Amino acid sequence: MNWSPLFLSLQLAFITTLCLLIIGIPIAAKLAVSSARYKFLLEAIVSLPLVLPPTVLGFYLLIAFSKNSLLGGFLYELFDVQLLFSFGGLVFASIIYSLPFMVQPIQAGLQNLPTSLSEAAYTMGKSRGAVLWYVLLPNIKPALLTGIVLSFAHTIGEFGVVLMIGGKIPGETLVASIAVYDEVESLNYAQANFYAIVLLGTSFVILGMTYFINARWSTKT
Amino acid sequence: MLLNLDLQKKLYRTEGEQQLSVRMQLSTGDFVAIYGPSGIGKTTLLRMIAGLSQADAGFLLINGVPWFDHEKKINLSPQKRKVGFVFQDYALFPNMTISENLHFANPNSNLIQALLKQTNLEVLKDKKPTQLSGGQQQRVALARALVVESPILLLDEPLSALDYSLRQNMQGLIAELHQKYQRTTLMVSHDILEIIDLANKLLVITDTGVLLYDNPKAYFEEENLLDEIEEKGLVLAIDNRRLLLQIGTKTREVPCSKITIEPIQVGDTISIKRWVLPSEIHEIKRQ
Repeated sequence: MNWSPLFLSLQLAFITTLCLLIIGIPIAAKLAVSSARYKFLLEAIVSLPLVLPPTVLGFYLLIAFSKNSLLGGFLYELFDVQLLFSFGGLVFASIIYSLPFMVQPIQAGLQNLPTSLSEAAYTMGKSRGAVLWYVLLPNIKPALLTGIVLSFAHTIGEFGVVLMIGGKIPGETLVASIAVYDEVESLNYAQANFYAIVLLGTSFVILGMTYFINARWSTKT
Repeated sequence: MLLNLDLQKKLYRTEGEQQLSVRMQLSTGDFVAIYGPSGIGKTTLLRMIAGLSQADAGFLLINGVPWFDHEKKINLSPQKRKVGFVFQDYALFPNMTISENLHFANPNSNLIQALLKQTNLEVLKDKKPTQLSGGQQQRVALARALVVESPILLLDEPLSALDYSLRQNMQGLIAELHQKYQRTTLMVSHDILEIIDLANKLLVITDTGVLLYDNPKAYFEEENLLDEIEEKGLVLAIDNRRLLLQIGTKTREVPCSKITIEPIQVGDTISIKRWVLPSEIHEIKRQ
C-alpha cells in the first residue's frame, strides 16, 4: 500500500489549518466588530469559495501562479518560487479555498459574546489584541474548534482546485482525494478503496469528536 | 474640582431624535445618582465618561486633564481613561476565576486581597463567575471596578437584577466601600430608596432637560415621590451590628451605622424616621 498521498493530505490539511488560524482570527475579529459601509464586500469575498465551483477558483489561481502573471512573475523573479504544480501552491490555494470555514464560525462566536466583555476590558486599559487573546478567544472555544475542524476536513476533501493547480505529482501534489480518482481511472479499485475508506474514517472521527467535545462544553456552561 | 463636564449628544429614540445635554461639576468622593425614564440617555452618559461612546460636542475634564474636548479634537480612548465600570450584566470574564478577573483588571495583589476580604469573596476566589449566584457576581463586579484604581467609578443599575434582601446588603456594601475608597461615583438607578441611601447628589434627566440637585431627598419629596414618616419603636435587642426594634406589631432590624443617639438600652422606646414610597390608598375607615 502507498501511504504517501494520505500523508501528503494530512500534511496539507495541517499546514493550511495552522495558516488559516493565524489569518482567519484577525479577519473574523475585524468582521465581528466592524460597522464599515463596505464590510459586506469583504464578507462576500471571504465567503466566495462556499458557492464558487472549485474549478473556477482553480482556473484563476492557475493564471495567477503562471510566470507570465504579476503574482507568479513577482514570486519567481524575487524569490525563485514556483507555485504552480508545487506543494506551496496547494497550501496557498487551500488557504483561500477553506477561508470561510475558519472565518465564519469564529466571527459568529465573537458576535454572540456580549459587547460588555470587551468594553469592560477596554476600561481596564487593555489593548484590542490583549482583549482578543485573553478575554474573547478563550470564551469561544467551541467556535474555534469548529473552525479548525471544518478547515482541516475541508482541505482533506479538496479535489477540483488541487487538480487544476497541483496536477498529480507523487510525493509533491498527489493528495489522497486525487489518488482515489487516479486509482479508479486505472481500474485499481482495491487501492482506491483503501484511500477512500481512510478518508471516510478520518473525516467521521474528526467530526464526531468535534460534536462530542462541543456538546460537553455546552453542558458545562 | 475632580470632574467637570459639558457634553452634548444626539440620541435616537423610538419617539424620535433627542438632544442630551449635560453640564456637571463634581468633587472627589461625590456620589451622584442618575435618575430618569428608560432610554433618556443615562447609560449613554456613563459610556461617554468611560470613552465607550463619543459625545457630539462639549468637553470632559478630570482633575483638569481633558479626556474629551470636541473643539480641540481631544478624545482619549477607554484604555487611556481607565475608569471603574460596573456593567448592568456585570461583564465578568467567564474564562477567568474571581481572583483572575481582579488580577486582569489590575495586578495589585495587596488591593486585590483587601477587596476580596471587604466584599467577603475570599472563599470564592478560585471559582468561575458561572458558579456564583447573582449577588456574588455583583460583589465581584464591584470589587473588580474598584481594583482599577481610577478616581471615577461608574455603576450602571448595579442592583437591578437582585432581589430585595440582596439589594439591601449590597447597598450597605456599596456605601461602606464608597466611604473607604472615596471614588467619585456616578450610579444609574431607578430605585428612589437606593438613591437616597447612597447618593449625595442627584442628576435628573427628563425630556425637558437635565438638572443636578444637591439634595436627592428634597427632590423626591418635592415631586411627591417620597414620604417621610415618624414612628415609635421598642428596642428588643442590640448587638454590634444591628438593633432589633418592635414597631407596632412588626419587628424590624436597623443597622447600627444609622444610630445617632447613644446610649440605647434594651427596653428603651425610641423615635425613628423612615422614608417610604407613596402608594395607593387601599382602605378608608371612620375613626
